[in-house]
Amino acid sequence: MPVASASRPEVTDAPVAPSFESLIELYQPAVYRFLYRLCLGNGHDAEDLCQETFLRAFRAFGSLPPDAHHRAWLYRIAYNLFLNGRRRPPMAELPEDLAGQQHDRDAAELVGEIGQFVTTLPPKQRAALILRHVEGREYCEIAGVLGCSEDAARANVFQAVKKIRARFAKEYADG
Amino acid sequence: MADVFEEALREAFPAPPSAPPLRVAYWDEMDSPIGTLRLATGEDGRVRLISFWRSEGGFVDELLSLGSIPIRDKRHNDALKRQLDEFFEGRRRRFELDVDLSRVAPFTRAVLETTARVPFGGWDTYGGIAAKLGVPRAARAVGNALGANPVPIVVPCHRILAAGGKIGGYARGLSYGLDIKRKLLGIEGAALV
Repeated sequence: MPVASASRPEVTDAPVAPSFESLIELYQPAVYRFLYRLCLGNGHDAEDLCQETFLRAFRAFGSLPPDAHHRAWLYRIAYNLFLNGRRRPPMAELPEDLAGQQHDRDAAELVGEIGQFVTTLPPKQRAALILRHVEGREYCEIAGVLGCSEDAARANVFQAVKKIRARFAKEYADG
Repeated sequence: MADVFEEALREAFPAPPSAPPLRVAYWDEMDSPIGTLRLATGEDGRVRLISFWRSEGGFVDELLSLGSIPIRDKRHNDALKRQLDEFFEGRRRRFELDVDLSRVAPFTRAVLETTARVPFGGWDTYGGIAAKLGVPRAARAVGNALGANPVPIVVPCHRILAAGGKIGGYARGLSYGLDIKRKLLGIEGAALV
């Protein structure tokens, strides 16, 4: 009967918890990028929120299951801090000239106007839209970040897209 | 959504150039003549926290309250440990280290910066520091500020005594704090009253 070598490490299927330092290395750039987009390009706010995200994460890390989806967990902390933060800019008012349809709009203007329009969306829809259509995340991960069901995550993305389509119906038809 | 909008959306939310570094504190422990020292150096290479009286948990909590993410690591504290060893052996009179006082109140920082100029083997008083700062009646406030020193020994708050050269206080009233203060002054050969 073969006997396992004593020097060979035991192989198990149990997930191995990463160190907190490795989480920083793996996910800090992505968490910062997500916050930077949520904060509409305000790097200072994104930096502060990113620092606070990892401080909170450190405190909770010990009680996290080893098989947790770490990126979604960190994104969720970041998203909640963004929601609760008082420093984030208030929901933007939609400029008057965006309400009407403009036919001679060049691409750069369109980009700026879409970006500005997204700031008028409720935070959950804004985050869902960024996660899905800018970062390309799966709905199950988006649901984990937003703290909702996968269906609700789909609904938030759907509502955001629907509003953009309605606002930019002319360009959508041209595109 | 049509591609034109997907593209416009990605352009409207561009990725930032790069993520700025997190505020991290690499911490470690060392044995010393005054007991176990816990030390932390920041990601920027500046000494952030030194303690001989906090437990491991208390030390980590203090780092968190200073806004630093604690990472257990030996390498980043090499220079600090070497210089402290040299100090305890009486071979170093002056630390060549940058310290991080960015999280202390302005008055405390002024007190600590003035304290840092008291030389090895010398001493001053709470009132003397207050006078140097132009607030001669603020001796008690100076004492409180020294109690908030995040980097004792490197910023030598043990060199600040009570009026007349009496030993005064140390380590926020810790029971064995005065013994440590006397020991540090003894290492420096300070002539006490």
